[in-house]
Amino acid sequence: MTTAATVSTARRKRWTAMRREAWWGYFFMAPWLIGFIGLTLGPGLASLVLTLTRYNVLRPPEFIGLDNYVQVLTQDELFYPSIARTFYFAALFVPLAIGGSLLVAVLLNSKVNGTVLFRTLFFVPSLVPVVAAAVLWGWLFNADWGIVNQGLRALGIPAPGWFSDRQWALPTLVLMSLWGSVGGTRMIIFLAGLQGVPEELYDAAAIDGANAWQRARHVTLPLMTPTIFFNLILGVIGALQVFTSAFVATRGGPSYATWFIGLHIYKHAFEYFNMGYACTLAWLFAVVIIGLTIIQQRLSSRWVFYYGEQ
Amino acid sequence: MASKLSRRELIKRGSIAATGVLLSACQPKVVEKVVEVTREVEKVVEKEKVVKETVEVEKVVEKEKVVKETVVVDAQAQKKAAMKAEMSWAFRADIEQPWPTERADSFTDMYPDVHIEQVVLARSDMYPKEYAMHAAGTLPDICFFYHSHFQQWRAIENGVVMPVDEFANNDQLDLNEWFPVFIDMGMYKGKLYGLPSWGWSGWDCITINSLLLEEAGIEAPEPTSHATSMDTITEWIFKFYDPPKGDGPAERFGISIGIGDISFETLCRAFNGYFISPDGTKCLIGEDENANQAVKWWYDLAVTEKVTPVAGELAAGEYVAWAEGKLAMFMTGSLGVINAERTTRDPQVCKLGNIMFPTRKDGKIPSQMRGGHWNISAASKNGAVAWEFIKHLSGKDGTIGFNLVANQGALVRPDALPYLKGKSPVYNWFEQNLMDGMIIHAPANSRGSELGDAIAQNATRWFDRRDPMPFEEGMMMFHDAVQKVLDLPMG
Repeated sequence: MTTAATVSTARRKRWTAMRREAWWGYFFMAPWLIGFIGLTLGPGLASLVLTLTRYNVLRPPEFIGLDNYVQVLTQDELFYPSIARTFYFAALFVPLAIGGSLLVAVLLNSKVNGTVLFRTLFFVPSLVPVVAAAVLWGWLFNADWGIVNQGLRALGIPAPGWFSDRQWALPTLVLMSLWGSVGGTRMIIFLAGLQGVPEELYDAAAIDGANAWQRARHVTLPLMTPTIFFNLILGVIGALQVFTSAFVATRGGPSYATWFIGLHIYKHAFEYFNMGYACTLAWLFAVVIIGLTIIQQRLSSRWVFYYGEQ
Repeated sequence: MASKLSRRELIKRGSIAATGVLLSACQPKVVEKVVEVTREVEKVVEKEKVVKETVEVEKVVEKEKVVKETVVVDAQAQKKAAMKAEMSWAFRADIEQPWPTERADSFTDMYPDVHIEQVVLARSDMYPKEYAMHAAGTLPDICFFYHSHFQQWRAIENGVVMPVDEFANNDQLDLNEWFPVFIDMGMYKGKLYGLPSWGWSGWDCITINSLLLEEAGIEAPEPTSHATSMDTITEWIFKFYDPPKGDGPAERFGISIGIGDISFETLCRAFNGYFISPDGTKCLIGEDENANQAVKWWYDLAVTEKVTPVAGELAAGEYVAWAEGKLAMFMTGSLGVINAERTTRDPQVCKLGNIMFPTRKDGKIPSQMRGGHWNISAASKNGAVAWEFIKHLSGKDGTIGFNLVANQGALVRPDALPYLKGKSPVYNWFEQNLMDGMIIHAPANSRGSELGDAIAQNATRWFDRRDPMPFEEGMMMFHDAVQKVLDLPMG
């Protein structure tokens, strides 16, 4: 047999083996792919089509072109305020959640007794369902008889209205969300990141005379930037989708103070039965979130440092 | 030497085995098929013979004998034989067992070939579920909508439920078995769309802790009297208000008025006006002097004098606060009074008392009768059987059980009322209104949910005593928000 023929045969065998392997890969991916197409991508595309219709669930969708978009962008008095409110919530919540989770992770990363117990205690609130937490915090923050205000009054501090006060309702939701968020999965991810920082860097810094703060500032923080970036992206996306806490605790009130875009979409879809309109709201907001994520991605090159890269 | 099994081979064989198991588990059910066999039978038909022949004959006339044969038909047996169905029945989760099961089982006892599956819907999303089921073609044969929740009109307009006039006419059903007002609530454009389920008389009233009246040496008004003026009620609100000691809440609030369409309608009617116009197209607050007077009264109590709790301030709700003596009175309707009766525990702290709103200048008693119906899904293939079942639900026994066993408010039948009155004298207080009460005015465009949100969100701003808004400014803001909803196209 000639060399060319040998090479060709070897190539054919390799290609067949590769194809076989690829088929097996697709075969194992198939359940997830079917689920993704059937339950995520498919409904998502269907909702995009519904944005061009008037659809009240009870009758078939009626094509109306871009009327829904025009109405959302030019006539809906709640659209822009609810987006602004949602961003305000995210602007309060995300830095506090990330900072708090990082701080807790740093504390848990220290070599003291009982870190396993503390880790569990910090993680448990994240396991409490949001609905139960909302009811619980509703009682704690009751303006008149809640234990928080009773404590504040005992200390001579003016007690705010919390959920029943227009100025305080949104910050109260932030507080409630932080309780379940600081010690949760974000903390675990930070903990993993901290434990990935090479010890020799700390040793080298210590040899150079760096104190604890300097080691944290110049070793820990830079090497944690990829983890912070990851949590930031997910944190922002999660915060902008705030819905359950507002739905349970305040129903969007008082006086629209906690009427977030997620609640606005829910109302139009499942209470007013304006499905086409709700889909339009959802898609417009999805574009906003995607845009924000792209901006964060672009800006990350200025402050995210990956260990080992030049 | 045994050949080694590679990892690749193991995974391959394992996945084939798993797929095989999965496929066999997902085998379609073997369903017994009933096949109708059509056979052709030769029929012998005698052809009619027409013979024309004119013959003179002696006529013999035989007198016709008419024999009447009386055949006794067992109508009930015939009906039983015809009643065959697998049906489903949707109802709200707070309808307590064993009423639903008792109704379904007792119906099956009468018609053994009818089986009823219970479909329980949570109150919070019962209408979205019903609408979604209708869209999916899975709406149970028997479903429910409320006249007073406005969803009924949207359901009828969109062909979700079917009219029942034909069934009622065929049965020669006497609709006077129910109070006319509740039958009227199920009428839309001249057709009847179900039989009454819920229904309460709605005589708007104020539930008061009558121990406070006793302590003050004031004779409590008769529960059925409409002689107490609004000025007297106002006086009592201030009299029983116990201000806070320090920065905290009041020791006892004078009255609680929950923010919602019910409260606005109650007060406007108590002050001789209306909140929504009878045709359901206009918000009269901001336009009608009487309605304006009503909301001014409320504003003064809540914002100026601060004798009412702020929305959300009563953590455990009005009933509990009232039963614990932290609330002198609260505004409610007949159903609320019955619920208050159930809530009172300590007679040393709280005693049920009732103040009816005064009679209006037009002679009517302020009220807003509300109710709901058992409906038949328009897509149901068992319409006739479903009709029999909703008669079973809405009949005398069903209605009594709905009240006393399921713990619901269904004052819809005159013949059920004596049993209810035997259980609690409170049912006597509101009986007259069942004959001549004022029906709630629904938004003409069925935008009930949008209306509720506009009211809740704008009223909390208007009545926010921490950041007071001038009354007129708040009223016009509220009016504009509500009118905007009423101007929307049909839902």
